[in-house]
Amino acid sequence: MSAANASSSVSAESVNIRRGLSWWQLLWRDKFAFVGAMWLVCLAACVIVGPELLGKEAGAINLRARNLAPGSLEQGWLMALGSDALGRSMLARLIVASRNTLLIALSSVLVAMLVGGALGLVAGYVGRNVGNVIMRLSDIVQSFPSLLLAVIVLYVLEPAVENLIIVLAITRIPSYLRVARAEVLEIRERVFVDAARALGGSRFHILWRHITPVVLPTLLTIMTVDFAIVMLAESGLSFLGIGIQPPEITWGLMVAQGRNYLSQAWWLAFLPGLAIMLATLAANLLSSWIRIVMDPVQRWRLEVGSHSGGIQRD
Amino acid sequence: MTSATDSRADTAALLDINDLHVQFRTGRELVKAVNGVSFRVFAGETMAILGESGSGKSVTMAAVMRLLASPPAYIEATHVQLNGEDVLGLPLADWRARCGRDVGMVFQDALAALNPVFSVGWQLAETFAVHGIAHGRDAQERAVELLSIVGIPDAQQRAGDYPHQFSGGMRQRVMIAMAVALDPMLLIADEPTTALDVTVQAQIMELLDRLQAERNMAIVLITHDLGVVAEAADRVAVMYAGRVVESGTVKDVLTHPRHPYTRALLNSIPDPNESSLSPIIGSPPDMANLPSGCPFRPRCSFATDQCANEEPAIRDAGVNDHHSACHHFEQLIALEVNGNG
Amino acid sequence: MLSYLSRRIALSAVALIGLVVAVFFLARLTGDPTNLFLPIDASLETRKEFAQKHGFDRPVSEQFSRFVQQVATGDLGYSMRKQRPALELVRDAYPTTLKLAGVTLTLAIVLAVIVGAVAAYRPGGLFDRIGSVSSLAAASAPDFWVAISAILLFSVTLGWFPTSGLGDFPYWVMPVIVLMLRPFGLLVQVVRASMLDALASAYVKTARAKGVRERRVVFVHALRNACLSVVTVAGDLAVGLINGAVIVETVFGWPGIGKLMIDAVIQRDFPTVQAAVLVTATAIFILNIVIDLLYVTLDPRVRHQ
Repeated sequence: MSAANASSSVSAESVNIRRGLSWWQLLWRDKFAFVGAMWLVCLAACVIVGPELLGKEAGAINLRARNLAPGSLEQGWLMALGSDALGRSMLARLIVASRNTLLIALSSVLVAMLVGGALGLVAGYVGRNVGNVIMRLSDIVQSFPSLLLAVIVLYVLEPAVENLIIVLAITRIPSYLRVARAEVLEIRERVFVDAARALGGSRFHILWRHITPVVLPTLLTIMTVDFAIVMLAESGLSFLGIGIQPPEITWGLMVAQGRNYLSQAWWLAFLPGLAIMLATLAANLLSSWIRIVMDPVQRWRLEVGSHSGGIQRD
Repeated sequence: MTSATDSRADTAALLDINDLHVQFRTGRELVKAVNGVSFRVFAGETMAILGESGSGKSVTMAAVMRLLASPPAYIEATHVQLNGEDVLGLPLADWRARCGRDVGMVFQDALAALNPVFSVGWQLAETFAVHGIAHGRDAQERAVELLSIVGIPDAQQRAGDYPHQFSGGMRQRVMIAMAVALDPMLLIADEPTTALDVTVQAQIMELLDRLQAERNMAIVLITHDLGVVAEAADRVAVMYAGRVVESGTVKDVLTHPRHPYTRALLNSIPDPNESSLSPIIGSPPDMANLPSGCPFRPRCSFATDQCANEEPAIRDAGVNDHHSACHHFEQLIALEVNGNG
Repeated sequence: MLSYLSRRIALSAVALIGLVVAVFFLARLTGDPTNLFLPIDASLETRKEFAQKHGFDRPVSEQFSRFVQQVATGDLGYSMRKQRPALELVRDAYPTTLKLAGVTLTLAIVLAVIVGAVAAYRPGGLFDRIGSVSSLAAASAPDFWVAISAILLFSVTLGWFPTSGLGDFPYWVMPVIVLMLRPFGLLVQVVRASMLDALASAYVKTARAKGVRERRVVFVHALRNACLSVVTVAGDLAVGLINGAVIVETVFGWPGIGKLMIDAVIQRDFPTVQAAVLVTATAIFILNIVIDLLYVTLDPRVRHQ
């Protein structure tokens, strides 16, 4: 029905112009996403001030408080989540380890977005041959299991933090590359780009001023999903013993260390894994909210409540 | 909307639609696609539903066939009856049993409307199997027979082919075969020729004509093409903005239109003797925001204040059940008499 | 059809060759490949001897042709740790992984198709909610943590299943379920989305107008079309499965290729790592071809291009 289609596209435009609800209100409408966002804010606080505030407690060996189970406040609030084999507070250790865990994931995602996005822009805009070569390389990277790729690269280069970030970024670059290139190919055909070229804009100028603003929101949407993926990947690598090496600590490494005490002190392995899960869950909930908000048709469902059915006569 | 009096009231209609309303809630908008449509189709006749895109002609028949998902569609009517039996109130499974058997439907784009992963013969044979008429080898043979009836050469071979392996015209024949397989009393054809070349169009219309004669089928022909109406239909209902604005025999309506919209449509047909075109002024209505009163008012040269305040009722406007929904159709009659019709 | 297939095979072949080349250069990236093979405290003498024996002191081009030759003849190096040719080790480990992956993939596909189809049939209903919750959980839960928690609950506490090892049915339950989570979560969404697309299509409208009952419309007409999207995604799924298998094999102590590789990395046994990578790449290459063939079989439109 062409008439029906015409009117829903008109309504999509009018939604943007009217902009009825602010970001906060939209976030509040989706309770799950709201909780996720709040949790990420808490984690950000842990990352920023955690090691400074609780660094000492995380390293304080107290053999009298060894292997305390979580759940009781008898030994003080620091031991609410239990303690490890050396009597160190689990709560403090978790908070301190959050910095490495989250920053590594964040850095990888940023690097992947910048490099992948740039390569995608180039592949889409510059000539056919360059584009094809880039796409083939991207295919090669994507066709191989990311974990194995990371394993072999980290074997050759030492598993230092920088290498870890780079290799994780490399495994994620193809998805940004693909999306950026697709968007560029589509936009390139549009009239305003021709107009800019006719007015004498250089290729770089056109890329930057006209194409980047359209491509960026899509890339940002992918970033939130990617953040979860990279966190899980790094945790997996550290768990296997190939990622972060002691004395650096991340939640993944904590799980590996706790694995030996599974029957005596299950919380040593369980709690760090739970922390990973909560963080990735929050990121995934937030990313699905972002996707809904970016799509005008679905966004409407958040803004308006449900309605009754039936024929309306006037 | 009161239904108009029908001088054939003593004969039972095959398809009887009375005051049908269909609305869609999509996004923030409420689209009133069909607003009080009523008409009847009698056995063996061809009824054309003429209108532009957006007039509600396809939605009307889709609602009658109960093919609209509800929500987002909301359907209400005083009654919709096929051969005397209620359609809308029937449990869906029972209605499905009648689909294909009592009424068949042909769609516009045969490439999209045929399942790409099953062979044409399989899809035809399924019609028989699903209604319990024939199964297995028997159904396959009937499928092949059907293909040759609708004019597909080498039917035995072609039955194993897939929809994308046929040309547009052949595909449409397959669709028609599927619709008439069980010898239904009514065939609904939704713009069956719109996507085809002119020469192929003629062939398809000829096929429909032949099948109708052979099987004494009634046909509801949905179209925007005046030429098709003139050639193939007995009666026509002209739709605008979800309403039937004029109905009657094809001869009466096309030679003596009694509604400004029909008149404007006929006038807009390019005349090789004229040096300029005379399209209908204004633009098609926004179905989510219909004007008050008569929906054609913004584009009508006969409009008055009454037209803005009051929706026109369908009234008798001539012989042979010629009806019009216009406050001022008498003016059109006057123009005719004066030779300006 | 032939041109479509040959193009796809050529692309996959390029990817495989690219990987082989990358492995070769990667090993020489740090300048001195002997670091990868010998312990850090090896003397200069030992290194020189080693380098000479394996041709590391020759020009790169010569090394490369030697490498290619070796790979082509199946000589993938010798594991000094295990005192066996690397290829043999890999060959012994592969069946375990294949069996695990095969069972898991089959189960994941069957369950996901059922849940996804019913979820599309009744949007908002029970299966739909099961589908979305499990997809979210699968995308968020670290598989090693799920594995460990499962061992904690079902083995240590409840004693239902053994903690680790290879054996008959009870040994398979937890590894398969843990490995199945991610592909299941992904597939449910894919099936649901393509089913919804199919159910909104014109050919479904025709089927309904023909009188086909709703159940048949969903599970024959729509599902058959939705299967195509499952095959499209199958390649990515299998690759992800390898990732998961590494973790599952390590946690549950299964002697598959994943465990072999991780152990080799930790023990600094480069030939084994290299062999595992190359064989896996070849397996993926073959898998992609199989998937392409399957797609051609299922989609008549591609067959007659």
